[in-house]
Amino acid sequence: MNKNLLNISLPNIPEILYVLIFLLIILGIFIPEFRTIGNILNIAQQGAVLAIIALGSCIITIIGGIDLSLGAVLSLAGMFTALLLKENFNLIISLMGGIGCGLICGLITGIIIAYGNVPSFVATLGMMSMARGISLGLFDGATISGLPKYFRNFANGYIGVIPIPIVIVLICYVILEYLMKREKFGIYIYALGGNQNAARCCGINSKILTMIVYTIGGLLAGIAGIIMVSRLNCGHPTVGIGYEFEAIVAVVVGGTPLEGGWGSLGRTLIGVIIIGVLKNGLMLLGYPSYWQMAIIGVGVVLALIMANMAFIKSKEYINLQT
Amino acid sequence: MMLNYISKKLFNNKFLLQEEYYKKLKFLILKLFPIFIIINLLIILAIISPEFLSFTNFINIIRQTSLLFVLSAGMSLVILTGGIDLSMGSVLGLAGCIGATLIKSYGNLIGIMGAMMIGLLFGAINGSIIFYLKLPSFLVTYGTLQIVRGLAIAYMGGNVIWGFNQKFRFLGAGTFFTIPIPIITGFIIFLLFYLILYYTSFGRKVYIVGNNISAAIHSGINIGKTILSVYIIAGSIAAFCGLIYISRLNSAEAGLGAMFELDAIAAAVVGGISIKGGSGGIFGTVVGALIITLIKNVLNLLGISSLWQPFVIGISIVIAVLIDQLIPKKGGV
Repeated sequence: MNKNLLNISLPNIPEILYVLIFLLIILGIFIPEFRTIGNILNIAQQGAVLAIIALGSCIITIIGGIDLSLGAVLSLAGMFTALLLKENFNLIISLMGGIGCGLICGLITGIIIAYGNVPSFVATLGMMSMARGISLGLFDGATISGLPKYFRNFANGYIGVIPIPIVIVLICYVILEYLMKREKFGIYIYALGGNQNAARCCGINSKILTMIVYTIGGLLAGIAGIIMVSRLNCGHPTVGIGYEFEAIVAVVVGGTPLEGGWGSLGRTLIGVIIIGVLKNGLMLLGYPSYWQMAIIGVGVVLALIMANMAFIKSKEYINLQT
Repeated sequence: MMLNYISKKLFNNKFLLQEEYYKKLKFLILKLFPIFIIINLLIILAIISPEFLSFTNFINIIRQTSLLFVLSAGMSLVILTGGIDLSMGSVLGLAGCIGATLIKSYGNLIGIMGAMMIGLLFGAINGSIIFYLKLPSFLVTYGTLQIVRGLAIAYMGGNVIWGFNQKFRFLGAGTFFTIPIPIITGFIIFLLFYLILYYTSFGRKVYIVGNNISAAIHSGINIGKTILSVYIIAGSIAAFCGLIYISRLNSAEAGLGAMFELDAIAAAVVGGISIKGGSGGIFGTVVGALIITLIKNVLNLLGISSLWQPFVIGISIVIAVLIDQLIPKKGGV
């Protein structure tokens, strides 16, 4: 009886959205600076890089893998773009170079995981170390600055009233959502994450699909790296440290189980917004960045525990049904 | 004819089918691969620089190897149970920092105890979250990595503590009959781990839990106790390494031990410990630590910037794991 009432009173939206609304109301009441339009645009611009990474991380989590290399690949792709621009290459060629750099890193990771049968966290840990080493070693640990002005306007500009990074996030989201919901590709990915052996028996080429998914992850990291460099107006080798972790947090907060087989890109984006709002709130309250790191670390462990509880509960539910 | 003779000599005079024979040969070659790498590295080093063959450099390499080995021994134990501990570098840093402040104000004994307690605490936290909540170990320890590093930076606030008393300096920089203390420590840790892994029931349990966890449960092994103790040992080893490092460097700062966990994983994996758990041994870790140290030495002697080291570590982890996939497992098909 009571349960039914509850079902009627709550509209059918993801539970995670309530957390976000609650957070927005609390922060909006207690911090006056939080309510300004400038601050909200700031959150959006800062969150764009993380959002793009998190979309890649979400697909990888859906097939049951994990990618710890995204942050390092992001900084490598950014450095590469900055280098090409500094050498007076065309804007298009530089952008293609950055995206291609990310794509190649993702492809290598994918090949190692799919054809070498290496557990994904070890392969991506190795790739993280490699990408970090290249971006530090190839440019001698230096910052590449003094990029052309039109490149700087790229991520700080607006289309109408919407910042360009947000437009890029939306384009990536729409394309991926289309692929995941309306194409065979998406169904195959969910099948692969749900049960790899069953998917293979159904005739899905699991190896090529795994490779493609990690390549998409790398490609998105490349795009994020370009936005990052454009925002900072310089290429820095240690800029993406910890981004892969925040992306995983966003995915987990968005309710995607680490076992794979289920998950949604939209909820992941809500997770990204929650992290962005939380970080912004902590910053406005005067907490330094290392406390933000620790608080987010505690947050992911709590979110994981809750997600795990829900997962165990759903398993029990299935057991009761059958 | 010759091959048959060799195969008879090598494999106890047993008659082997052609396929089985090649399988065994492949196994042998892949197992001997690390030693092959070491010999190659030694030859390269000897050709590059004449100083390499000096006694001082030899002692230096052995000292670096034993420092890496001590950290890697804890990591090996965790990897043998099928888990991984990414938080070791951060725990090393935090334990070093807290140990340093305690030594400065309360003396050696309390400082060492305090640092070891930090290691124990975070090991216990990792182990209990991983076991009781059944979460993947790499994610939990990645979370603790971030938290512990944040705590270390908050605790130190950008300060550097330096200048310890002579007694504490003995732990990392002292010598015993011209042999540096870290080498002796490394040797003791090796003996200890060897005895634990091969001659106690706990060591056997570590292997079974890594090999087949459901078989371990059904044979009545308390897997919770095993997993928890493994992470606690790893945490304490990390804290102990932190003490050795601050004693050797004579200073402590919040960035101590960043990315050390990758070196430790590389040493364990290159030494033939399977990342899926349950196979490999502590002697392999010694060989792995020696290889990683020698590779770093080659890079230094070639004049390549130390900024390239993460790249080399990453590539050696991936290659070692790929080779490990090729080795046919004992008892497997």
